Amino acid sequence: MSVCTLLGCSDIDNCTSDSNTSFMIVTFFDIETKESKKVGFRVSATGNASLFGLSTDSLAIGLPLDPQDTAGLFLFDSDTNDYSLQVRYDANFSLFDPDCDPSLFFSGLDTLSTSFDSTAIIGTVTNRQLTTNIEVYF
Amino acid sequence: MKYTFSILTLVFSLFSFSQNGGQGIKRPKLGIHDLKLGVNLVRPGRTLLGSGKDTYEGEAALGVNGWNYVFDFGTEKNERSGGYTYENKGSFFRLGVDRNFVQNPGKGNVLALGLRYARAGFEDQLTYSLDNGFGDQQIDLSNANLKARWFELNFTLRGKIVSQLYTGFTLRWKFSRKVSGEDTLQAFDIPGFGNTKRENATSFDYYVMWRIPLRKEK
Repeated sequence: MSVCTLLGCSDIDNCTSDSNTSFMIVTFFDIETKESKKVGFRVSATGNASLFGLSTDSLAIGLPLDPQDTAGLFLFDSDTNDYSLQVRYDANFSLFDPDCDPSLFFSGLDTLSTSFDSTAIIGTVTNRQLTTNIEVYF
Repeated sequence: MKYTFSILTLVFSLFSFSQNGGQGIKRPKLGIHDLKLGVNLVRPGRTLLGSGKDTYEGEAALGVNGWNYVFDFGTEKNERSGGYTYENKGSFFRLGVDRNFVQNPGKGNVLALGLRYARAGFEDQLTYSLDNGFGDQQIDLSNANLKARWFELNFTLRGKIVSQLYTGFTLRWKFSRKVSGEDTLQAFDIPGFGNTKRENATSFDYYVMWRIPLRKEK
């Protein structure tokens, strides 16, 4: 236990040391081999005007979630197949440091529905310690 | 947690030691010897310095046979802003006992080690505008019924200035904090405790107190 943990002394923080993230990370796997799979998708989210493009050698994508909703539907379009992934979550706001913008992260992440062959929830909370929140197999 | 246990064990050992009179010296029974009423000057000082804090606190301490039974009550309002506005307001109290180690506690001077149980009831509100890929969104979040509890290990020093006027400080180590009633917004400030960046907190409080003797001094 450090002295600061014991005494609660002031932290030396900057805004980039916030470990929370406001997006979930989806990684792709081959359903047969269970190996990481390189993909090329155009991903859109309901309510989000942006279209996320993945080059054909992408292994994962970070997808933002709407903090004013508790569920989100993502559509994954490729030249050959279209998939969907609907997730639920809880938004959480906190002041990481008063000198920084409020910190946003999501918890309770779960799959509501999907047209991928299967999914696995690896991390229910969005933060920098995790490299994957949801694994999708197809 | 193991350090917390060790420190509390040390404190209880000191209490037991002092109760046995240290080296076998028996203290005279004083009964209820005084009541001290006072205010914490650090809190209004912070208010006057414009730290975005509006806070006040009073203390009552009843001296009984070299023990001080202490009750603190205070209010606190914090306003923080940057690209956001965060407001937090509520009240708190502490209840606890100090073991006074001075040779004649009936004179009102205090050199003590003590424990406190503290609770706060408060509310907070965050107003913030962000774009997380879904356009500009106005975030208005609030918690109307937040509660917190914690414990404190205190070191207290009080000395006579003139007549029945006493001043002195209390150093606090606050631990075992628990907050309930949070929804989407996580509380940052806890009235009486500090902020929630760390599990534990420390503080320095300076009191001015008026002593009311409750026993005829010899």
